[in-house]
Amino acid sequence: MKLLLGHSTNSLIHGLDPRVKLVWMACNLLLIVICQKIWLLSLNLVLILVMTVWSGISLKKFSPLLKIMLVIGLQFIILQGFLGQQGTVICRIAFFKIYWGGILMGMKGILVLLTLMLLCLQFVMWTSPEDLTLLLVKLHLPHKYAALVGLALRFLPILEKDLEAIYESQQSRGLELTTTWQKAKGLLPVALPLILRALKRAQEAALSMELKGYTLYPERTFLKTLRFSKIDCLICSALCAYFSGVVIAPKLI
Amino acid sequence: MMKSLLTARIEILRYHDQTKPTLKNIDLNINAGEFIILAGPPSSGKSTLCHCLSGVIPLFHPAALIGDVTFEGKSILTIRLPELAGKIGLVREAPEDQLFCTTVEEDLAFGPCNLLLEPEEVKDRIINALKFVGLTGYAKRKTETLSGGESQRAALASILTLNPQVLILDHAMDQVDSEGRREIIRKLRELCRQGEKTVILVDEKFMELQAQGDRVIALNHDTVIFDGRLSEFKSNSAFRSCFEMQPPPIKWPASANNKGFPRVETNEQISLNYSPQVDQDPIISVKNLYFSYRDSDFALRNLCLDICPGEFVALVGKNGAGKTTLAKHFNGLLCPQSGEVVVNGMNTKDYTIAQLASHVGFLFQNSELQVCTNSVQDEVSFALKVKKLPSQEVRNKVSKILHLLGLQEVAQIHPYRLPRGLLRKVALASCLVNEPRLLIIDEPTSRMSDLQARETMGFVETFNKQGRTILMITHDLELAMRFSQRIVFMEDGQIKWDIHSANWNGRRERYTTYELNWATKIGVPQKWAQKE
Repeated sequence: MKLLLGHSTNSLIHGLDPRVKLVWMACNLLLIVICQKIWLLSLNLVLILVMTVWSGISLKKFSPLLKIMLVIGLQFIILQGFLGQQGTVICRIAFFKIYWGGILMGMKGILVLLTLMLLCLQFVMWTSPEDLTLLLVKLHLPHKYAALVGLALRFLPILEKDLEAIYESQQSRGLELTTTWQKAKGLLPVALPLILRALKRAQEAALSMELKGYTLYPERTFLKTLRFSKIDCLICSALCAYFSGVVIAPKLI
Repeated sequence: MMKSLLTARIEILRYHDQTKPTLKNIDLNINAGEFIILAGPPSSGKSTLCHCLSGVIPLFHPAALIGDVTFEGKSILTIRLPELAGKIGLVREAPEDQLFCTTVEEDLAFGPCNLLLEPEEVKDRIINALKFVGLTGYAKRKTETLSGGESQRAALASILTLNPQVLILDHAMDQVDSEGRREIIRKLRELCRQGEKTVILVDEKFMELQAQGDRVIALNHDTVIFDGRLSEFKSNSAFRSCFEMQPPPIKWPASANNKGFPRVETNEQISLNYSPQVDQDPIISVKNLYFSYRDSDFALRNLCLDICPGEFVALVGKNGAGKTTLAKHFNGLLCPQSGEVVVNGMNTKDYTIAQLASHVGFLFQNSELQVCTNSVQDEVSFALKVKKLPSQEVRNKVSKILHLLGLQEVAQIHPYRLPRGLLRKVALASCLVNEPRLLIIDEPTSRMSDLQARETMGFVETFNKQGRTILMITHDLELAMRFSQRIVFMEDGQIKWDIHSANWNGRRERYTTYELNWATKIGVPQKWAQKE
């Protein structure tokens, strides 16, 4: 699984100011909170996927995640069908009734969960840790903590790379990790080195940061500065207009 | 008159989880502009001393320290570690722990930005540091795409941008190719000569980086046993006690113009395109292999190679030449995008990595990443347990291999508690226990002392004499020439030379002469072995 590694970072979206990406995420969040219509939520999800592809990220990357969500989602929808006693009964199994309203509620819940997950992943994949640090500094978070958030984000692909190396290493010693069942059985020899390595890496990285003067002064300078370009302004305005329209329009109809 | 810059008076230093002191009775005075080699056998306290001199002990790693370390006359034991940034720079062994930003440029900027330098000055420092370590043009590269040697260069550059007065290199260039290491050391010596830097170097291969005027501080049994010029050190009894078991280092020939090897007249010719006799099926057969990484210009292009059973082949080349990428095709970790790779009669495309593991052993560079058990014994037996062999057979095989590699004493210890060199040995044991027909060893002696390296390579050689095939990936020409029968040199994803030992008549003691032949006929080793 290479979720955060190896994707292109040269697209127009990647180059946008992180505040524009934040606006995109915030507007989407607002939309899923305000609008509870399934067709709108589905349409929004399609839009998010289109934006992902447009930014040069292959949807194949999400396939392991979607498989897991499919398993969880089906269980959740069926459970909601039993428990959410709304609407017509569409099926009876022994003493249990499955309600259409419950199914809808379950589908809505899964759509919201999927949207939230994709939005967060999108933000992480579109924004470099350094840009995130600059964004947080702009939002008046002390630079000491802002740098830490950026570094935490940076650690995710590093851990993913370690995981890949561990997979290679253990497979080279004869451990079969091809099927899902084999992967589940091989969890311990893969997870244990990963945890040990992550703990050690965190300590060593902390030492490296101190050796490089981290927290020597309350402030620090940055190589880059965030500047809102014309294209950022344009896209930001377009996003605001679009989402206002999507929220208001259904109420006017 | 050089001024005193750094002093260390350590009566006793003891880690909290140990009863014996790690350092004792140290009294050092380091002057500005000195180039110092810190020498000593494994576990003699070299790295601990480096940590003390850089303030890491006790400011970051707690330890009981009786004594004082001063920088410019002020004690560094009562300040905060970040205050030493820009004064004392420590570059450690593992580069992956020292690079924590997305791009090389961001990593190099991290330090100077903490010192509140303006972006323009930071950019200048980055350009200069990258040029210094030979990574010009790497600023925008993602750190995870760097090879081991390139990462070490970048880690050094990230400290150089802080412009520290004292630079401590603790095994910081183990994975850098010989040519690169010599070039960096030459530049550092030049800075010391100009009085701009004071360098303290810990490098297991310091003998090949030597200059007679260098100051050597030798440690043994937790204390300083010699402090003087290198020329005196070699005739001193301390040298013998430290390095009694070491093989004699290769003596690089004196150069008339200091620009490379002198021309040596010889009638012997070296074939650069060796191809093995095909009276038996090759154990590795690569035909028209093409492979490239996504988002990278690097590619293996139309590569062909045959390796016969029982050969000891060294795959050499600079960092990033494609050695590991090629080797990963031999156990199925990478699949050819076109062409085919057949190992032991099996097309790697048709088998899983685990299926190929019974035939191919692979020793990776980072042995820490495979540790998944609580003891050395369990770690070594892992590959056999996976194959579900009877427990008695597992016990016998593990016991035999532990004995052969001299690991019986540490059999019950957690692998993470072992020094890195010993951990590599454990990883090697866990490969060999499977008795593969082909053993691929990636930088087998990196992070090992010369003594450990010699023992390990001796064992690999024995394994080879039993008829097993060895493919050793290394950037260390000396190691390749000392042990292998055939050297395959890679550059930019292609095989440039393929040379068999028959071409140097099997007389290994004369390999220096043959390097001269290479130098005069080919020109490449001239760059590798540039005279200091």
